[in-house]
Amino acid sequence: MSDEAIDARDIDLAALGTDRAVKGKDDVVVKATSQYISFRVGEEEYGVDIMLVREIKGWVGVTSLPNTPKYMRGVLNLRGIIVPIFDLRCRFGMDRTEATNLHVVVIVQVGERTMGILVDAVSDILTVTEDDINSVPDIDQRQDGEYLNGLLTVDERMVGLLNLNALFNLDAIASGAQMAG
Amino acid sequence: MIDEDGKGVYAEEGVDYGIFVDLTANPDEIYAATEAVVTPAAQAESEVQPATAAVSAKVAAPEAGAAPAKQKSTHIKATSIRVDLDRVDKLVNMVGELVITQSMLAQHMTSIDLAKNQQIMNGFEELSMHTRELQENVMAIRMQPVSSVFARMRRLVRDLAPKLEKKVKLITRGEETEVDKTVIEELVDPLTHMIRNSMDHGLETPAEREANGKPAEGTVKLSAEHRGGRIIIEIADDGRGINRPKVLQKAKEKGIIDANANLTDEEIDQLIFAPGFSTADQVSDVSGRGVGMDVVRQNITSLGGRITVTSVPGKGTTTSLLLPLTLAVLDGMIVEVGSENYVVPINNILETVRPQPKDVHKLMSGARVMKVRGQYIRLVSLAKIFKVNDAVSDPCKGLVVLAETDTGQPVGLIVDKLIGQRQVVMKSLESNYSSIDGISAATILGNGKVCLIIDVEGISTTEKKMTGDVTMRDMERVIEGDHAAE
Repeated sequence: MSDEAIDARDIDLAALGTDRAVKGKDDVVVKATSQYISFRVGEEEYGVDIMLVREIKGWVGVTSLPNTPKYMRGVLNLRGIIVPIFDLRCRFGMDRTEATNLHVVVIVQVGERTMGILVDAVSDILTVTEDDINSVPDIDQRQDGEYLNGLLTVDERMVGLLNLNALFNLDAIASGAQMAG
Repeated sequence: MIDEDGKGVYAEEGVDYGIFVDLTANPDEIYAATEAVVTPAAQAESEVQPATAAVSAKVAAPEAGAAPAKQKSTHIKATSIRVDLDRVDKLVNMVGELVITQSMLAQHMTSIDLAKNQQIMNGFEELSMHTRELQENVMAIRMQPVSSVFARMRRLVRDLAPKLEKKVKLITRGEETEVDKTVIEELVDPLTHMIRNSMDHGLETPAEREANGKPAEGTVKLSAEHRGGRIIIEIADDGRGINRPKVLQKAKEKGIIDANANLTDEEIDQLIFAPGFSTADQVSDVSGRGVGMDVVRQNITSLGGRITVTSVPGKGTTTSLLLPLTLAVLDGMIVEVGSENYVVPINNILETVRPQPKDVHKLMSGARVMKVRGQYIRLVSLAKIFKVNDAVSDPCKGLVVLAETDTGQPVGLIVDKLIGQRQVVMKSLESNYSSIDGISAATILGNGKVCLIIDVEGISTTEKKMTGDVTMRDMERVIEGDHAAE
């Protein structure tokens, strides 16, 4: 993705964000909508709440941190702040992403912390109502239920809505580090 | 430089002029007074730093000069605003980024031929000058004079002296010395403790003092000055000095040292920093609880500073604190380990050596030691701890950075090579991630890349966990083997 494309998207985000706020205030009858940014990781598509997204930028090199889980790619300098970057593909138990400068880092705010998620590409901004969100079916692997807030169907595609708090929980990372070490 | 009347004489060493100001006066007034006098002086010496400018003001007749300055000060309002520290930090961050971008631009500039376009070159030079100036000014925002802390100490002395039934005079010097606000906050507790110490243990009772031919009133001197990019704070009393036989006896009683240990005077003085040490016979609300100088030392070292004590029996004790001007900036040596770069704090580094193969030994536990001037030093492979694959593992092919730990035992860090010395801005890893063993913080290098700062203490313990502690028996075996080889 070129810089210009990213810039355009940034503006889009801002515009859509205010749009949503206005809608919510004036039109009480309309069901509350929320917006998600969706991105691709391999064949799958995932989404995060747009309000958590701070910025989207192309992949640049990171400084790796020693003795951390495999999906912790390292830290980068985001205008003077040290931001950890997590590899979403790797977090889901697959191999590390072979990152090129076509890959995208989504900078998100989770609670007090700022972090980046490495994904293949950003695909869309989805506006959905609460009814559109399906619950995650009870599957054996309990991590699906834990890491996803819900499932969306968009044009026959399934989008998993990520629960970032659970995915990049510090305790989980710490125990992951022990497993790695 | 203090005269007997308790009036402070502000003057720089070797400079025979100064301003006489009553130290008991309101600090603001002194400040305004010195500032007022500085103005003409600043024109004469344009390259004076703000802190020293205040003391090196040129006044022909000092006392005559101070009086009109005080009158003038009524017209000068102190103009200051309170700003949230977060905002200042953001500003510092942004300026840091600006400097990085600017140096990146400079690198690109050299690759294209701009000789034809002199205007761009000139403009760029100006830009870099302004950036540098901007950075210096922004860094100065956080600086504050230590006078606020010193003022609290004066009150402490006043309150404590009658309690201890002692007469104590506190003399302060260098109150205008500026330090980062964060350092100032951390100074209060250690200073309070050390002044209490000086007054309780150091100074004798008035009767005792007179019997020893000293004035009944004891003196505690508190001074601050800049030295080589750091600040030195000294607390000196003219009391009885450290009672070495008593310290030694108490240390043996408490099992801090071996009963047969033979220590030099300096080593005995250092014992007062041992955890749990106290010479007080009775526990009072001032001293004797055994929580003391070890905590002070911990506080100071956690600030990246050092504490030393010197004592002359019968003459007094001087404790010096050597502190960085700011917590945010650290003098670091950038080292290369394989494809990674790390920063080792200069504070920790004793020396760097390339060992000879005959000096490196392997112990039973797998740990390696190196002989440096007859001393065996544990070697730590940074590559192994940080899992860097493409690094030099043989210390004889790379370099060994001898670094000091809190316990005083040096360790040898094996690195590929040294890149250079740099002042780096510390950035916490914890704010967005979590702490990592062996890493104290991160920093951003001139090229915008993140570089990790090594926590030597942490490295040493991590390494012990990984390879097992080096036992004395291990050491002895090596030493014997060494002797046999010779």
